[in-house]
Amino acid sequence: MPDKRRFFDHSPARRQVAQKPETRKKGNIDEYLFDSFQSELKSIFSDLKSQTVKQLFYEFHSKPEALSLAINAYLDNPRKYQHGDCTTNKEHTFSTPSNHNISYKVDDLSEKTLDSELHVNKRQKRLANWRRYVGTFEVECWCTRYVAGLLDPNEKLLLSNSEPQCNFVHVSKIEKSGNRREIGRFLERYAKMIAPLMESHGIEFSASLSPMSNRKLRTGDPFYITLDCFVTDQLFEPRPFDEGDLESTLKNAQNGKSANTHFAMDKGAALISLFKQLHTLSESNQSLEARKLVSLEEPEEKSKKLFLDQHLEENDAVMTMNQLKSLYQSTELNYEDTRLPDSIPNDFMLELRPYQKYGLSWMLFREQEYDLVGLNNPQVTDEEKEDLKKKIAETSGTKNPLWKECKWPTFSSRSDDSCGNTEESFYVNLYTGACSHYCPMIQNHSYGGILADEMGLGKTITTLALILSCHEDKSYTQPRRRDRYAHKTTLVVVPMAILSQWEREFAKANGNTHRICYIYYGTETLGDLSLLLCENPTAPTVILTTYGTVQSEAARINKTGNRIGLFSVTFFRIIIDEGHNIRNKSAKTTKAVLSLLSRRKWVLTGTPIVNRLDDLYSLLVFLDLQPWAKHYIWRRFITEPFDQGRDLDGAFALLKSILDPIILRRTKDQKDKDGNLLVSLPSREIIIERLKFNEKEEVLYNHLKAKAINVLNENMKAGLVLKNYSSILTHLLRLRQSCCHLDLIRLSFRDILNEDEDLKESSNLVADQAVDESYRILQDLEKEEEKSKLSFEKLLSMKREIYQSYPSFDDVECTICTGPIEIETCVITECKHCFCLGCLMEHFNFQSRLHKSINASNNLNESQIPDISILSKEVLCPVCRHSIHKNRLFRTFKPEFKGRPSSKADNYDAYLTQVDHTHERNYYIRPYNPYGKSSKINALLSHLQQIYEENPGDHVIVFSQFTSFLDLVEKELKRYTSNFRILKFDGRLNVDQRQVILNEFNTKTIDGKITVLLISLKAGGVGLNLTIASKAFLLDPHWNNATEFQAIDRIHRVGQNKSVKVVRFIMEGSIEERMLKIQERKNQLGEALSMNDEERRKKKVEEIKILFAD
Amino acid sequence: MSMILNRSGLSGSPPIGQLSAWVARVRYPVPGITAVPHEDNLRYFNVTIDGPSGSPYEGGKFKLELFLPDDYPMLAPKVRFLTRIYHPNIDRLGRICLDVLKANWSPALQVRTILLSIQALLSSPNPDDPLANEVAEEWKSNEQNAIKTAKEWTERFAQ
Repeated sequence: MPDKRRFFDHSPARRQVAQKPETRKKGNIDEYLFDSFQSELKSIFSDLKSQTVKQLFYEFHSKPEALSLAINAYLDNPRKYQHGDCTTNKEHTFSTPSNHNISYKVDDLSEKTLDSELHVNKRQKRLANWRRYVGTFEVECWCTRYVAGLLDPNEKLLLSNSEPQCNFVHVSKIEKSGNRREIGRFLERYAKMIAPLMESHGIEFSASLSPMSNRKLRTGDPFYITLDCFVTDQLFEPRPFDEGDLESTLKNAQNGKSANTHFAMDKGAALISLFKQLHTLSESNQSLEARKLVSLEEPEEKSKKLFLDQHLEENDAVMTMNQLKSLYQSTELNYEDTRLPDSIPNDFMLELRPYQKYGLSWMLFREQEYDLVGLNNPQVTDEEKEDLKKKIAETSGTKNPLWKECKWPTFSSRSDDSCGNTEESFYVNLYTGACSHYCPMIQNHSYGGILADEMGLGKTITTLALILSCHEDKSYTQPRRRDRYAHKTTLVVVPMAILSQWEREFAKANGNTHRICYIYYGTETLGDLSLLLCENPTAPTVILTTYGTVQSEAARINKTGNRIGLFSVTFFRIIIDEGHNIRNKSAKTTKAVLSLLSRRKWVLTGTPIVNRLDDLYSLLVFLDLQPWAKHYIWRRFITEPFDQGRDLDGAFALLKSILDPIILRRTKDQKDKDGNLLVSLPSREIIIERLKFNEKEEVLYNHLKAKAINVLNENMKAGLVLKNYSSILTHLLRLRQSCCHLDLIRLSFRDILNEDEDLKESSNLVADQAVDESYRILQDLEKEEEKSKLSFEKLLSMKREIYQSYPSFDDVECTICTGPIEIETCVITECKHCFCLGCLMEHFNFQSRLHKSINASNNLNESQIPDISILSKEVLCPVCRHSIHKNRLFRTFKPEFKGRPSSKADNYDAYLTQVDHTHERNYYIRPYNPYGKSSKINALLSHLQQIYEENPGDHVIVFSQFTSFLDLVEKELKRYTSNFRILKFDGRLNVDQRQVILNEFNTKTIDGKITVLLISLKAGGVGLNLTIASKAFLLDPHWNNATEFQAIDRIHRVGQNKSVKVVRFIMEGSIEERMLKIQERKNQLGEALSMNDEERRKKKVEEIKILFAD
Repeated sequence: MSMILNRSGLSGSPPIGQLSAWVARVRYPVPGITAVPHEDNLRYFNVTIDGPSGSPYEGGKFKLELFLPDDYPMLAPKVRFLTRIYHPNIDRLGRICLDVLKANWSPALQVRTILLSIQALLSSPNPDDPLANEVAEEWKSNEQNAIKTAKEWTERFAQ
């Protein structure tokens, strides 16, 4: 459609007087010029858009020979003029902060209005010195009254919002008379964004009607206006990074809902979303323009796109734990990027690996001990050191990640040159909306960081190197006791299990006898330490203590109010080992650790994020890393985005920029600059060995399983799964225990609770009737078993007969496998035939399976009470078809075994195994007890026996989650043979006892006995260094795969030089196999990040369903 | 962990070493009987049994197939005549009615004992526990005729 409208000149020179009305006459001249300009151009480029014409006119009309210049310019760069920007022809709208009902438009059509506007402006709004165009976008509006025939495209419109803090933006047009009439309003989505900005300084809009096909609008009809946006210098007024401001903003935002539901967005947020809408914030201006073009022509398309975008964002929101872990994985790259020179520590008796030297440099760097970086490194000259220091001084502080760079639009003709700014970009605070020409920096004042090297890379050693290289605060020259500053002392807080390990490592590494290490643990925890630490020239360099000590001391202080003990001084440095111990910010231990005072703080942990993002928060609080350690900031910028899944990329980038400078992490698979692995560990082989239940176990397991499924189904039906969650967990625990050893069922209820963390924490437990019932079944089984056994007299006579039939144990052949039988694996039936134990047991199992399948087909409705008769089912001897029974078998043993201490075995057995010295037999026999041990213990025994034969003197570690199970294992192993040296390490030991056990484990036996260390997964799964062993057995699976791997890393770590072999026992077809599935599922999906406790529980219930799914 | 994997089979199929030991024993059983394992499948054997002297099957060479199932030796091997034979305890499909192949199987029995039992079955047919009912009727009602037919069949099919 032909453009009959006037053209208004907004050349920069006249911008300053923009508020002055242009004369009608002037406008007429321009109009005339423009008309002729346009017709000339259109005769050359017939398809030229009127907007392009205007743009060209605007640019060249003041020059002589405007037409030819314009034609040339268009031919030179047609694209420049194709992005139809209507801004040339638009009016500036101002709104005042206080007078909300009036907004103003510079328009020569309405001089009257303008006068009053000027008046108001002078009084209430400081004029902008300059303004700069930032972009244009389309706004969808809806019509509020019937408009017909009056709407010209590109008509200037007036925007206003009627009330403060209200989400309506009225669109009005100026009639010839000068009256303003509202024709419509912004859609809410846009109004929310624009309304807050209309009241504020720094942003200006001008609106015009977008071209449209309809010339009539009815109430409710959609229409589009084109909105040009400008920023003025007021946006850039210096505003320091004001935390108070930020806090109130955040708090308002949080309370926003209750205070004012309609006014949802504050100015900052509105500004950000405006910039996002304008794509000023986005990197790719090209695609944005392409999009803008599209949207101009097809307004419908845009909303679709928006929808699509939202959809995409939702997909992005699925962020997993794995992705998050990749966060600190990605910081590993830092290791290669940064070029700190290696440092070699003072007074250090151990040789550091290259990456540890680098780690030391980094730690010194983080402590701002720049003089010490590159310590003792002959390759680092003094000049280089100076250079480094200079560089550090220059780059001190990091870019504040809250600020984002925004590009000025490249087509700057829209802007007022008077601003005199030539930068290509400016910075906007993503959360407050403040703007700056320069990038604000955060000065980093925290000394310390997180050393997050993967397990086994020697964090302890690196840290000791730091302690010994920089053991005191040199800047503190005049020690005074009343400062209470232990300037020479580093406090190291460690889990109790590895306290003595630290002590040992310190002793090994320390090369200066003046440096001493104190253990602060146990009874000597009271008093004022300032005497010892502050003015004392021989103050200990290191004080080792445990999390428990810190916590109990904190508890005492809470009572008395005096700062005593560890809390009585400010330490030079605090190091917390296995720092993820403080991940729960409301835990007592965490609070206690956080209230320790020190100048420098370090966290050592292999897993900075254990379960959720907030695990990191406590660490940041410990390090006092401002501003992130403030909870409202952390919440707003990190937790909430992740929880709600909005702007994940941004939050992720922010998190990364927070962590990057303070965390150092290297992994075992990382390569150094020469391409070698940081640590080359011997190979590691993990085997899952599936074991079958014996009949007794199976009966009881199936009973417990049926019970558990019953309980679960009932609760499902009633919808009480979450409420009775703990009782379901109890059932699960029962099942897991019955996979280990039936005797665990006998344990009292209380004992069981102590085995499982999940249960210990829940106080109101439903009484477990299943315990009594399963106990009764167990007893029934045992009675049945007793019945099928041979009488004592019969046993003795049978023994005599067997000794007569087999005067010596030579050339005995198993008729089943047709091979010779070893003494260790031979069983003899009551009909005095010999078989391999394995072959005969297979025969028994096959027969019972056969029997069961027949039974099942005969007896379709199975009863609830398990059929214990299968234990007494008759099986025939393969050779003579005499009836035989598992409980009436004999096993043969080598005579060496006679010397074992009989006091521990029960006397009944001992009597039966007495060797008759009148006969020189090369074997003796003992009644075989098929169920006495659990299947798992049996399997473990046969492995250990084999290890004993193949590698005498070897060391083996055995993990279980159940200390009571370990007790049983210990008993059985000791009973079985004296060739095993059995040690046990669990949470019941105190520090000294632990040390005794570990010391003993680390010594070699002289008589070829193998040493077996039984470790409770919880007490010994982390921290210990047991590389003397290269074989491990995991008796039961844990819910969390990582925990098992951590346990395996006790032996698969630096210092291990044999290949590591690990066997995981899993009962076939049991809950343990399902647990493996859950582990797998966790590994594949990754743990979802944003889960509150409730969701976590729900997920667990889902897992429970998996456990019982058929 | 190889030491663990090689432990003699407490569960599952017997290890390969044990299987070949059995195969070796199957291969050289007794005079008049041969058993050759199949090239592709060590569990599958081509068996021949000579008709026992003094029986109607004398002079015949009977082909059988023998298969060791996965559960062997807990489960009996599967044996079947491939050569047609006129016998009250062997049906048209070659299936054999023999107690040690069914209920009386014991893992202590070996393939050679089974094959010997089959040879013995040829010597002394048991028409009272028949599998081929018509043959058994004939055997009971007209033994002469039955033996004659058996001889004819032997000449026709088992030469």
